[in-house]
Amino acid sequence: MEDQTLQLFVQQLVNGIQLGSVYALIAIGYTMVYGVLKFINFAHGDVYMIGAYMGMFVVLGFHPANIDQDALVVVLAMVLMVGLIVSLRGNLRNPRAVGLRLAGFGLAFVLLKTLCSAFVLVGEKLFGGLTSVAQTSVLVGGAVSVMVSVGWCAALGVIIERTAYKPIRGTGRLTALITAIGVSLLLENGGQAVFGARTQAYSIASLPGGQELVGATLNLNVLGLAISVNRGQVIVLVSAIVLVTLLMYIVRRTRMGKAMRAVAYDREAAALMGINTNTVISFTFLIGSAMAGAGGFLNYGLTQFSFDTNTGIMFGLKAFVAAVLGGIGNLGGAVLGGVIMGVAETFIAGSPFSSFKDAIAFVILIAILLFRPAGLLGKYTVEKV
Amino acid sequence: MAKLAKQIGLCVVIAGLLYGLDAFLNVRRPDGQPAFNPFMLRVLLLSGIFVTLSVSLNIVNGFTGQFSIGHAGFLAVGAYVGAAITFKFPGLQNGMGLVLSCIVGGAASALFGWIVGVPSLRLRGDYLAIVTLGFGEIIRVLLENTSMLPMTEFLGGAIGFSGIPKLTSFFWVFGLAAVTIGISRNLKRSLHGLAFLSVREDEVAADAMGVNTTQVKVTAFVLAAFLAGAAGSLYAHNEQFILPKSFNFVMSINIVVMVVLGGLGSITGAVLTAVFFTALPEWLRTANVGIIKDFYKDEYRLVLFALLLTLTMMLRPQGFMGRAELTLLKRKKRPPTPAPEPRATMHAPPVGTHEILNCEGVTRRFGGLVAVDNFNLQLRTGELVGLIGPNGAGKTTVFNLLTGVYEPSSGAVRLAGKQIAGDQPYSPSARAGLIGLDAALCGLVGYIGATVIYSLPLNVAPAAMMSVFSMSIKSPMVLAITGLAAAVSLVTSKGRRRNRPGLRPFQFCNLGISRTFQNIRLFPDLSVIENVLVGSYGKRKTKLFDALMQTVRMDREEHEQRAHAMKLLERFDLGSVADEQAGGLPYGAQRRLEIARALATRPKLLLLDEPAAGMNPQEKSELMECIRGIRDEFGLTILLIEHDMKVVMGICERIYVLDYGVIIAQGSPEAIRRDPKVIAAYLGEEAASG
Amino acid sequence: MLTLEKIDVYYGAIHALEQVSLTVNQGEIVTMIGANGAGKSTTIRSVSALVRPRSGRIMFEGEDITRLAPHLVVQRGICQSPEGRRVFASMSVRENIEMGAYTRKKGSGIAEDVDRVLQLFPRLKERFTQSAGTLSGGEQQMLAIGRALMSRPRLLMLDEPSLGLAPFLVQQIFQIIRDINAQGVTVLLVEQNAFQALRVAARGYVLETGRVVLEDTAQNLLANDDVRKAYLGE
Repeated sequence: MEDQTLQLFVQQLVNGIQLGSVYALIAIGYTMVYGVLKFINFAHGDVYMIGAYMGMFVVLGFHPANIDQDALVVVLAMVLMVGLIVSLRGNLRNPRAVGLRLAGFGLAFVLLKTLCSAFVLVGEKLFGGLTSVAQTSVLVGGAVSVMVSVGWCAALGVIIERTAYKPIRGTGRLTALITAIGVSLLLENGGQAVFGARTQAYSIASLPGGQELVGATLNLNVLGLAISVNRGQVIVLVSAIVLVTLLMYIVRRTRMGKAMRAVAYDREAAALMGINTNTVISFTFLIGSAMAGAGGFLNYGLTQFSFDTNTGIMFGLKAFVAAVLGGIGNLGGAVLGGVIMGVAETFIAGSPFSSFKDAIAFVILIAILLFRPAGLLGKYTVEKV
Repeated sequence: MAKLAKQIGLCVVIAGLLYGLDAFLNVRRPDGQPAFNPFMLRVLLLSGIFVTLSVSLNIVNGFTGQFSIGHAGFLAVGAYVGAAITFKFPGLQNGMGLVLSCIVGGAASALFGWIVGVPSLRLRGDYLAIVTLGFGEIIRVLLENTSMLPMTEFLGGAIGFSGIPKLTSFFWVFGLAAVTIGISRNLKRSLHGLAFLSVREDEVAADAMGVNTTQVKVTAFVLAAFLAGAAGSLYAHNEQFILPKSFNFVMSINIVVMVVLGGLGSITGAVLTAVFFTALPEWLRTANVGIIKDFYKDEYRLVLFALLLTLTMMLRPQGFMGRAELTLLKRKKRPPTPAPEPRATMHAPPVGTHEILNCEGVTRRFGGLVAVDNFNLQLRTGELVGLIGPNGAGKTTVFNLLTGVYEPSSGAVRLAGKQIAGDQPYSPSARAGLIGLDAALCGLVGYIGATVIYSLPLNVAPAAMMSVFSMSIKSPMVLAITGLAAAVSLVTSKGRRRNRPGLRPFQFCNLGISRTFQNIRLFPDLSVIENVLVGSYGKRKTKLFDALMQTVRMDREEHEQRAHAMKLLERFDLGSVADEQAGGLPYGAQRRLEIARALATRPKLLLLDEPAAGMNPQEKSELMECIRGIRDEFGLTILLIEHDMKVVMGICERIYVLDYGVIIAQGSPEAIRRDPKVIAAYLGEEAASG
Repeated sequence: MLTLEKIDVYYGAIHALEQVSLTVNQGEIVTMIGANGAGKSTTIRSVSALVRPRSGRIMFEGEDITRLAPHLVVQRGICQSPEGRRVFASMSVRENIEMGAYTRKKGSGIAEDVDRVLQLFPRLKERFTQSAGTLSGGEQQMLAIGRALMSRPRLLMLDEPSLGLAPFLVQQIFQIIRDINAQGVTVLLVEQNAFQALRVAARGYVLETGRVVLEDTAQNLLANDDVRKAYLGE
């Protein structure tokens, strides 16, 4: 009895750490952005969701039939409308500027449908090429998928920061939060309109040699206890460790990393050192979003989990809780918090109370805020009066 | 009494109006068909429910400046509790039953609001948002699991709760909406409402002016939850089928969008957007306009919401209405009748008789840094004392210690002989009890966690968990984990439970210590007189109920306080700008207003933090006169921090000099001027010789 | 070298600077004195582009720098040691000093400049690997000045370098300011400690409620009765 409990305990612990490693990857993005801007990037979870889709397009291919082109046109038209209004702001007295912008956006509207078709066509060709490359072997496929997810999400993160967050910087935390909620809703529902509401699943096991790489089960003997681990899980865990190590290196050793730490500590003083704070902030979004993109691919491409466009909400929130648990603004804390979150959730999921597993994150959140608001590794600061 | 009659009359008129409209909307054509499209009626009722929701959320997000994004959770609690009542008791399936279910649903929801609010409202802004969202999710998960217990099985769990009687009508839905709007409007105008607004404007300053910010926030939360719960009951009896899933994040966001786009703080805005954004999607869904019909997807509505939110934040962050209201009746300016003399002016006790403040060995450390070291200070009633020292010497830290912003690391502060800050150890028995309680709690948590691990290989049903709990107590592993948790708690709790928690700033204020801030902290969006009125909140005698119902007592009190505030303003030459926004005043006037606000709390001891900063010589000499004047007039004791030597030397009777957190000299201005230590530290070494 | 032409700065409704004009010549030490809230910090913050003037112009060596981003101002050769020191407490002394050279290319004599700073502030040498948060106030001030010097500024702006320091440290800091100036760096000094500031400076400006009310050589200001009364406590 006790033996069996212990074995299951260790088994669940391993599963939990694997899930936790993905939470950690996302939590890093929350914590970095919070460190630099003191702002919760609500849309971060949705960037992770996009990462999952990008991996899927590489592995399964990008079929125009799966994309609702009309929806793409409608969504982009609405976004363009908003872009037009925003870009006209402050220029209304300048007829030349108004004319130019109207002409530019008008052209975009007229060509929107064609552009969307072209976009989908290019996407098809591009992803078609990537898919055929990926089809050569699972290692190549995995590498390509990671690169596409990471690259696309990094770009998306920077685009979001530049277009939505930068214009409202310095106007108050509530404004920033509401904007972030807006961006998050846009990604979820725009995504759902274009990609469809159905649940998706894919695995690089479908690539040549994939079954052997990720499908196989490893039977380990840990201290006399028989533990079985999926190879895919091990790869997720190892990749996460590699990525986090890489990130730590960037933050601690590179020039940009130092600038990031300086900006996080005191943005004005950093500017006085000649640091271009705007670039640093964009870079923070770039790195954080890249990690989330990698997490999105790893957690779905190498496991049997399924996802849809709303996956990012819950997953993002849990990762955020992980960041708070570890101490927001603290990279090591994000990793620790992620692992604790993953383990806690896995244990609940394995217990009779499995249907409460989505609630555990918030129970943890409330507990931590009550007893140690600065998080496990964070330092508590008093507001200056 | 005339007022009460007027209020009752207004209620009757509104009720009659709603009743008549209700009857009109239910008119049937001669052929027995309803004259109005039932679908349109449903949309109308739904928008009425959302009016209640958005106006109630506005109390939290708009008035109080907190940001809740989990309102759908409270709606859900009200809906399930309310529906359960009429479902279980068929005798209640009528109008009265509906009212009862609204009240009980509202109360249940308010209870949840309290449970959510107490722990989480200590947090600010974005953290709070996430916690409310989390609670919303927890409520949803709980409702999805109602089918687990036989007692709550009828609620249907994740499959949904069906068979709820249709009890709503235009009258009830809009009746609740009218009540919500009325309450909210009364609140916004009242003294209590000002306390809510002051928390939004500047929480630290509100706290310092005697507003119990935690209580205000929890009140706002509970009130909003109650109204949302009542609306939830109506929602359930309108839809007749409810599903835990439908009270999700998207619904919460819908309500948030209404409040934000309408204008945070504007009731009118909340009403208008609620109607618009409930009707719009229904119209879009059914509209016969070709292009929309062919293409429409529900996601577009949410994409539109998303873009509208972002756009609003970029172009008009204050929302459509800002904080303004539309009113049908122009409010009459109160006639400037001379108010009854609020109270006799205090007679200042002769200077130097009583000791009012005594700091004994007060030390404050921040990490390794000692900001204030073994600070001793005695003030006698009626004194005017200066605290000077170089920048960074720890003067403002002293003020923060005297107003409860910081707690002393050691030492004691006594006000009129009564200890108000510093070490206040628990009695040994109380301490032992608390430590024991901590350990028991941690042990329990450890036991539950250990049992969950223990049950992993058993694959038991949730209902059988009880027996597992009784079984697991025999397992050595479970016992060990439980013991470990309790032991860890015992070790860590010893240090934490040494002292009683210190008083909060609002309590210091209510004890009679008031202050101004070095960097002016007014409530910038409130008017000048409202700023002063917030100061008198701590001395109110009315209850929140009086404010919500706008009772005669409330009227009388407001009248008195306004008169008092006006007198204060005139004392400070601010009478002519009483209705202007405080944030728009010139610098010198803002400084004076801050003093007036501090005086409105009726302090015994006034702490002024660099009152002359940023003033020109003319203003400074006026200020000196003024400070001396108010000391005599209000019977105050004043402690002031100031850099301007002319001011300090000119008005202070005694001066303390602080350097490096240590008092290096004290005495009369003359003595201080000549003290070589002071000259060295403060005026520069060579000033003495040169 | 640096000219401010009638700049106006607002914080919300508050008019923080009103038509402030000021000139700093090559090689000078110029000081701004005045009470708290008079607008001294705001003036140099607008030079560093941390606040934007609503009107007026800021010229540096013939170039209009009013609309430049803060990091570009630093690249032009203006560096500020901000009020309250604001060192990066979580980084080591070494990292703080190196951070000052952020704009410079690797190998362009940074190592030599670090030595130069350590020579100027031997105390920092002892604490080289310690984290900056553990330093005393005076040491932090030295670090802040040293850090600012690392960008090889032609104009160094110091905001309240004597703030919260013990008298003997204040002496030391002012001596160092003289030394830095002797090495060819122009200095704009904002000080509460009017006496000390006027002793090292060539010229001075007196600010009051956002306006320049007096402008003269330091000698004359020291002798001025109003100044003595208001700022020297006499």
